[in-house]
Amino acid sequence: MNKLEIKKLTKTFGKKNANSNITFTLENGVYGLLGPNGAGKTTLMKQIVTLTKPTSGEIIYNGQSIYEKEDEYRNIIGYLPQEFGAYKNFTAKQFLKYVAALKGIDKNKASQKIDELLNLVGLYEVRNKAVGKFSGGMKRRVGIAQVLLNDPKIVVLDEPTAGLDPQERSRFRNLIADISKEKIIILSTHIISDIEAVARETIMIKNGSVIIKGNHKDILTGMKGKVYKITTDKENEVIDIQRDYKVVNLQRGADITELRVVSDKMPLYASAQSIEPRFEDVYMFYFDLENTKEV
Amino acid sequence: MGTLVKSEIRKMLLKPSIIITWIVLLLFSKILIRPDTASEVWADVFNKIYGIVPLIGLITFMIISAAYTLEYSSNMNELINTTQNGKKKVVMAKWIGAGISTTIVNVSIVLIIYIDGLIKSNFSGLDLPLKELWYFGNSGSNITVLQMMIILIITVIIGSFFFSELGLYLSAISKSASIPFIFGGLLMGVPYIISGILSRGGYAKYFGVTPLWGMMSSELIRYKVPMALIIVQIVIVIAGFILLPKLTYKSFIKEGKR
Repeated sequence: MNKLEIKKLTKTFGKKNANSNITFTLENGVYGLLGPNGAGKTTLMKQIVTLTKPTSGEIIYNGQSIYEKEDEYRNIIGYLPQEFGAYKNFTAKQFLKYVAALKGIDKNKASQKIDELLNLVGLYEVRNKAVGKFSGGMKRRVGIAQVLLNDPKIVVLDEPTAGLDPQERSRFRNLIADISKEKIIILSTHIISDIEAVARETIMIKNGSVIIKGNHKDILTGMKGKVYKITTDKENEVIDIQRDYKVVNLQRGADITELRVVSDKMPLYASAQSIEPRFEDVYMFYFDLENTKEV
Repeated sequence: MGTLVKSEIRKMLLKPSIIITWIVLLLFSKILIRPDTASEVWADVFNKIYGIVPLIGLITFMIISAAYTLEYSSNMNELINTTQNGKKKVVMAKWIGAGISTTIVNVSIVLIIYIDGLIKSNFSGLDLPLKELWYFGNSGSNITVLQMMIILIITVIIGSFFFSELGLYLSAISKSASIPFIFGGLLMGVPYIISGILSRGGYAKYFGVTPLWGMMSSELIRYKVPMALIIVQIVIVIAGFILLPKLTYKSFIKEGKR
């Protein structure tokens, strides 16, 4: 069992706290890191993968600070950076050989592992094709293959599905589910459906602090009584509702408009009725719509 | 380390833009020497080798300029710095890879001119002392053409590694490949231009302290550069070899670098 403890982690850039007093513990499984742009997700992940040192606080892996034996710790992490782009003039195989050398993997072992991983990510047939000719989804799959080269215990994926089409996203989620056994996987994304599909728990970050951590069932239970459906046939009421509440969804029918809103209190409309919360409601409740790229 | 160096060479050298420029330069180098007497041909060889320095600089910095900026733009620097060997070995692998790449290209250009010289001189005149060539007219040097050819190849190799390290450092501290390309080009090009202008006033020998003349060692002989200035130049090159990799490493692993 792997255990990663984040204790009172604070990271400051100048006067700005990118992460503020973050504390949580992760064990094997997929964890979704959810939050708008600038919430501090990437800073947190960079500290977990040793790219950035915290201003204060600790990161402890299996009882030991990750900075005590940094090299050993690096051997057990796999990281896929945001907007990752492999070298265009490398083939998938050449690129993976390069990363294997970076990770200090023996040549013979690496060769066997590379073929295995290319099969896993469905790129074996195009292993000798230049990465520059790959689609966005294929490049991400090369990215996942490099993450797994050293059989990491901690996998950190920063926005791995951004910009992918639904088919590639689905393929990517399945891949993450496949590899999640006996690993801690931290998946940062804006895409709520990705987290719903694969994450065991979700950690929501806002302004550098954790505002919620829990499994989906608990988080949705906490949202009960905060999601409402309002129907109206008056256009001025639609405008009022949009002004006064966070509207998750708006459906216009021939005569009636149906609005799905999140609110702490029951909206003051006769037609308002409490409904079952969905995960996107949680996001909307805590964050603003303009920060949500895709759901 | 071998795989890392090979990969760095692939990243820097095996790009269509570099290969095309390299081929064009080799073809251009092939047409520079005119058939004449042996002493004329060999004087022309050394003259043209120094004359082609701007093009050598061009391709050198084309090879190196993107070495680190490519990592930043693809976020590969982050991946590299989270790996066991990444932090420790990539800076060294890049230097060796860049040095080998620029050496292959620069030496190939010089060799093409040499081979052309050998053909145009009917394989004669290699034992001529440099003082008998108009290009080295005032040097009084008894070094033979063959000895100068060998010395020049060695200094071109050392110079290629030096300018590679300089270019790598500029690349490591830049966000765009155009910065190391322009500044690296200036560091190589300014002494070239100014020394050309000042050569008539007798001040040219002071350019003996520049790594450019260290690389193009024929100029040290041509202008009878005093040993003291050559020693200063050697100190500059050694200091560069020691300090530049350290500064490059520091810049590459800097937090928040993109």
